[in-house]
Amino acid sequence: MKKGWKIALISVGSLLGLAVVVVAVALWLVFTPSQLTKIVNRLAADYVTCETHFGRVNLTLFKTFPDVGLRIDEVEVVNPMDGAPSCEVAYIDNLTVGLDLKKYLKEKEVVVHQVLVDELRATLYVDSLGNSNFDIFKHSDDKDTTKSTFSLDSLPFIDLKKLQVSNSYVTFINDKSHLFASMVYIDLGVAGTLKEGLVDADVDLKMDRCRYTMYRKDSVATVDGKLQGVKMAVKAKGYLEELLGDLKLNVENGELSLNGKEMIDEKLQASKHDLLKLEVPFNADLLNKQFLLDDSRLQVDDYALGLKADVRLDPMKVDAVVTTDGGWQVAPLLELLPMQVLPKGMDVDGKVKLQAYAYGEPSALKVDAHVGLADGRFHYPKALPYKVNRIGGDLEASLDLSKKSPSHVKINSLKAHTLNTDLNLKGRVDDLLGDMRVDATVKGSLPLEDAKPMIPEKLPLKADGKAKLDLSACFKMSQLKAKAYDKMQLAGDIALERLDVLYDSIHVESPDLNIALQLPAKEHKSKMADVHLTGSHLLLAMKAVEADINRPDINAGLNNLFKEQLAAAVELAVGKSAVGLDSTQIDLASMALKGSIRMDSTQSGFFNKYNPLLNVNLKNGVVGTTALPEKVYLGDLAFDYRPERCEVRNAEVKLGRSDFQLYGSVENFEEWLVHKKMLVGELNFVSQYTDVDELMDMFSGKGTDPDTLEQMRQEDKVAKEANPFIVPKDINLTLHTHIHRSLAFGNDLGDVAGALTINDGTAILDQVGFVCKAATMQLTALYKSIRPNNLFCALDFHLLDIQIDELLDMIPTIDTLVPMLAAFEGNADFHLAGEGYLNARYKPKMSTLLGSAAISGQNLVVMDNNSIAQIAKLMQFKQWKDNDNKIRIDSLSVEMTCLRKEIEVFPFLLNIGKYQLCASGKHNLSGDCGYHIELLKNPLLAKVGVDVRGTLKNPKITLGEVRYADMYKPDKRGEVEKRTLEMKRRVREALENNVR
Amino acid sequence: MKNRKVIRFWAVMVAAALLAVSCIKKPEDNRLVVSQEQLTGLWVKANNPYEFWRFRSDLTGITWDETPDPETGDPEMTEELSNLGFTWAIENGDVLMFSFPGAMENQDVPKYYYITEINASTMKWEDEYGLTYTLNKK
Repeated sequence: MKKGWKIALISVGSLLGLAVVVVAVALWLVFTPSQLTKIVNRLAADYVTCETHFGRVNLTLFKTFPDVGLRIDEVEVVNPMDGAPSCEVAYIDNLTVGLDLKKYLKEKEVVVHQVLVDELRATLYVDSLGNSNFDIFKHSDDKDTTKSTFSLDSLPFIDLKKLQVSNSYVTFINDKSHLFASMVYIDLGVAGTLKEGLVDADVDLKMDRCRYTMYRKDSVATVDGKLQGVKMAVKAKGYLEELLGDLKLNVENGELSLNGKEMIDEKLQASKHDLLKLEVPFNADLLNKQFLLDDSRLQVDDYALGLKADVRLDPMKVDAVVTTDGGWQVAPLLELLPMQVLPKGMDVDGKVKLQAYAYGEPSALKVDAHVGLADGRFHYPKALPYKVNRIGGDLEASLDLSKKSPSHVKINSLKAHTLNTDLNLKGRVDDLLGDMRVDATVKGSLPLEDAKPMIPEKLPLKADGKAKLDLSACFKMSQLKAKAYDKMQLAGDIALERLDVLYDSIHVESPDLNIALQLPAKEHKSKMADVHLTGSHLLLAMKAVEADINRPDINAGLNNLFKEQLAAAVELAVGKSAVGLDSTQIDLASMALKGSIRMDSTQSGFFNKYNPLLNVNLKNGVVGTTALPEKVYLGDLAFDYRPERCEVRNAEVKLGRSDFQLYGSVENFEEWLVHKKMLVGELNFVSQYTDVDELMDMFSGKGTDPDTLEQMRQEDKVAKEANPFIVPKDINLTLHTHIHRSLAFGNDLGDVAGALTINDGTAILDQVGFVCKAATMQLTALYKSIRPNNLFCALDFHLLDIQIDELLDMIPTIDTLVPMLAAFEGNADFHLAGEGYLNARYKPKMSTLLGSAAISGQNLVVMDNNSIAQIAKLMQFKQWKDNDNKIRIDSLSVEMTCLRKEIEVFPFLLNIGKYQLCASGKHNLSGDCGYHIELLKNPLLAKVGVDVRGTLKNPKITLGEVRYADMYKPDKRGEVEKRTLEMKRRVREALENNVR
Repeated sequence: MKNRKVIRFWAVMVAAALLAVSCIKKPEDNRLVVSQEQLTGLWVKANNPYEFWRFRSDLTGITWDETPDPETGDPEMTEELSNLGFTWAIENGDVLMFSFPGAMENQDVPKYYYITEINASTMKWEDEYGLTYTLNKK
């Protein structure tokens, strides 16, 4: 630089400096502090309604350069008010205002460029009526009641180059709103201009501490926040209707209490990170009170949220997108939350991503959110005895916080893993903020041993195997709480593999078992749920029952689920199966069962507990039981079981050499099993062939304790080889038989038809008709096995048109009782009613015999023998034999009785050719006899009687008295003849009365 | 020879004619008049000490035979098990009528005897064939 220029510049500078000094001195002289103080006091009185005090007022140039500054010390505003903590509204230790001198000098306009406040202490108070102690400025008397429309022109021109508040304290108390706020060590810096709607502002606020408290009328705080290290910076530029700016807020630390509950954990307070960071770039339309927040960021401790929002204040409306910054780790986040958020002992973690879109008015805010969850874990032993991990999910929620429209969450996927279990959930939850309605599908793989922790220790249950779940459920939470399972929907399959369950004494095994569930029931309309079990094989063992079932197919409709009285309609179909029941083994080719059960867990015993109503169809079964020496082969077995009655629709049975079909009904089955009642039934018994002897052997003694029976045999001294039929006890069964061929007591019988009743130790044959040895017979019999050696037997036996020799062959006892029958040949009708005791070998106890018999025959042939020849000789018979030398009898009608060993034959007539004889008498089983034979008619009209005495084998035949001359002459009969004929008539009528 | 036969025939005829006066046991003039009370009680057969007859005042009764079983030695029957229950009546003073109904509905075994002697210790019956039965009061 040239020296000349240098000198010139120094000179000009010095002159200017001198001029400034001169002006300053002049101003100092003109605007003395006392002058200025007066001016300020006057101005304050013009504008402020309350008492003000100003200390020293100085003019300053350097502090506010280039503006001229007015520095006021010790500014005090006093406005006493009842309830206010202090009369002093504000005290400013040092207030400096910088004015645009040039503007003032040119246009006489006061333009404030700078306001510097140092050490402000303000106590602002609003009483319960809304009057405030800081309402100190005078109001214009001209109150414009019309609402003025806003225009940019109405805005003042503001060119605030610097607003600086430092080292200040502000306290604000509002008794009307129950609010308290205080700010300590405030440092506020504001710079900016506002000109014709164009804003350029820069605000920088720092506070050491601040507190915000809301309290109830009883002074209990509902919200109490304490913040420390608050820093806020706002920059805004642009027109009021399009103001671009940036807001930054940092809070180093703080406390927040809501209704006495601390919301900011000590760990969060101790965090090295700032408690809160907020960065909000915005685009504001202040005229329309609309704010656009773009790429804003809210950070609490280490957790950041991205925020994009469009906020309108009038009316209030929000349109915002909130996004988590990366994934939030849940566990440490939860640690920052108050302890009450998670129950004690609950361990939750995972990484959560959130993207939420909130819109609408705050009172009717709607939120659409997308939540991503990964690497989650959950462990809360009190609720779930598992550590659940690998929790991941993807959820979409739509919420209407006003609840005007339903909120829902869509679960795109939710996965969890525990032990060896994997579960996947998909679905939707509607009415999220009301009565939640869940519509979800769960799929998963669950080893049953994983369920062990869920099983109470006291429950004697062991389960192995694997379950694959594929279930869909739809229900409302209110239904779940009310246990209204009938209104809930559940459908799907549970596929069990290698199932091995042991519950108490029940053991279930299956290589594969599929359980299809349907709730409410579709197939069983009246039921709550359908359950369909299918599998290839099922092994079931419980107490004395073992079932080995192929292809089980069980279709059930259930009611009263989860109650003590479960009810089920059951359809069951199984393939080849085997059932072991105590000492009985049942093999089945197939079985179909339809029915219902009503389980009452308060009862004991199978039937009382399950109350089954069943329709059962079995095919090709084989029953092996130690109770029977032969296996029972079942062709078809169909029965309908009800507790009060079992209807046997069809039972095709092959037992030993017998085959038969049964149908009918049986009652009291349940009571019979527990020995409370007899089994009562009436069944039709249709058979092609029945071996009665074999069946009697098989069923002998049933219902009687074998030990008791053996004891009775010993007491009765029954020989080992003697095995009398002991009639089954505890049953009252009637069989209406129709047997084509039968073997009974060694006799072949045909066309057997009639009723057989077994009634508690008594067997009754009721008018059983059959054909034996070409004769038609009818037998009514009663057999009572009182003791092994005391067998009572009573018969009512009618043999029609039977050959006498075959009759004797069939019933040898008759020959013993009526030996003279052996002398006859031909066919006769034989009626016998008799009774007596048999010993264990079926040998009659003769002292107990009681009976009556009637024999009728025509055209009989009398076998010639010595006795007959002797009688004929005595009676001088001539030509009484036929040409073939046989003695023929036109007719024979004999009645006889038996008491013990004595047989009495009532008088009977014999017509032999031209002779008529009458015979009667007695004999005993020793063979002693006393008979009388009398010739009633002969060609010579002679009356001859002979007596047969001695023994039957060696009779002494002599002439005897004529006794029956008047027997058959009614007008001549005496008392004795009448009595004799009356007894004869009684015997025959009684015997023939019962012939069908 | 022929004459001998004719003689023998007529001899038989004469004999028969002589005997034709009803030979069936007929009531006699000196018949007993027996009261029911005389029979009531337990009687035992004179020729079989195991055979018992109990006559009850309600005109029922029962009989049983306790003869030892040759195989077991046990009584063949007891009063409790006996099937030989009966009803009894006295007709015309001395005719003892029995009816053994038995177990079967259509069975009727009627019996009658003439009481020929009865006192406190002994009772005798006789049937129409002349067979006698003696019982001693037990």
